[in-house]
Amino acid sequence: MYPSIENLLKIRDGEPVDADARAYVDADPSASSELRRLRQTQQALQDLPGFEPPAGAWERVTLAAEEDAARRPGRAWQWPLRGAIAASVAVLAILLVTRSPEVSPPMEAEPATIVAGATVTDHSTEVMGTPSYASLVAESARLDRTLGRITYQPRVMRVSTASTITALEDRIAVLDDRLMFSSRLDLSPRQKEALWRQRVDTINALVHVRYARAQRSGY
Amino acid sequence: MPQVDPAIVAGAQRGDRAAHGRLFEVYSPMVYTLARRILVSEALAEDALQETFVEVIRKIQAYRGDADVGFWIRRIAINKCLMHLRSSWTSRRVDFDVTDTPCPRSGGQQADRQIALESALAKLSATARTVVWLHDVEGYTHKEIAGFMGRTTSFSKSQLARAHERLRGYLEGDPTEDGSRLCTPVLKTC
Repeated sequence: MYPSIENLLKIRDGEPVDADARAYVDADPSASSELRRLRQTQQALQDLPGFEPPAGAWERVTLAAEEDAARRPGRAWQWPLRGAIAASVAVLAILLVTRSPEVSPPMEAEPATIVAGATVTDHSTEVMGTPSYASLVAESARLDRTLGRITYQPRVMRVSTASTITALEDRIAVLDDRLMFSSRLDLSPRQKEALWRQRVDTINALVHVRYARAQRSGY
Repeated sequence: MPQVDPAIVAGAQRGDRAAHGRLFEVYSPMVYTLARRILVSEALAEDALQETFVEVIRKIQAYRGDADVGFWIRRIAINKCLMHLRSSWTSRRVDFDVTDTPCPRSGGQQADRQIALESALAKLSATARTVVWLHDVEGYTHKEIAGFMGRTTSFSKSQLARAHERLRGYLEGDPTEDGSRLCTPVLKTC
């Protein structure tokens, strides 16, 4: 009887098989040909070319591994540097956020829709003669551009990092409000300069937090 | 199976990033090829690749060295692929989403035969394709395959036999002389 394909596969793989089936294959050219075809197919499958992983696969693995570690207690896959960076950034942020403004005139309830460049132009014309004021405005604009270049947005962020970033962004919004309405608030040039200094310090801290986050995720 | 220096494995167990990277460098082609052959879809294969190495990084400390690390990684990869197949949403997608399969490239008769075989393999059911790949290429026994899939040894044997019957039908049904006709309708990108 012509052997089943299961029996032919057993013969191909050197497994025990019914003696009659083996004898049939040896005697019958058609069955021998089928066995040969099965061997050829297996060889052809083994000879199929491999695939190279897509570009950036390792970077995605490291990001996913970091997120995985963050979700799990024990956190086997993290680096000592992360803790040091987080601690230093948190201290800096707390200092900036909790520091009392050097000027604290009453705020008007205006929306904080600040375009940094426009804000810089408005106020730089008022006290152009002060070198430190001009350099603060320029530095603030430079940091805005730097911040704009850090486009990386992690899918998952530690709560502490997220709250630090939120606190810094809120702080910048408050400062921008005050700078935008500085003329209405009747601030002195010295008070405006103090606000710009605080803005530079705060946005600098935000740049550092977001840059550190992007660097860590980039592995 | 590619090999790595035991020092790399030891480094990975200590959490050394470079060692993790080296394991990925050495074993990711094997894992990705396995995933592409079983899952067919590029996107699903990349998911399986990523999930495999996330688990490797997470569990490497528990690896005791009973088997070669490559075999250990391959088992993780197989389980990840099977996990995708077990998802009903994914298994439907796997059976139909074969548009990522490369189109025929010029390269003579051998290339044509490979393309025909790839196409035939992709047309098998996901289960049959998995069994034929694990048995005929990766060298697993029916007992091991049954263990992976949570089925019996007989199931694995019958799937293999059925897969070969279908492969024969697909290969003999597709003319091999004309490369342009090797690309079957399931390969929508052709």
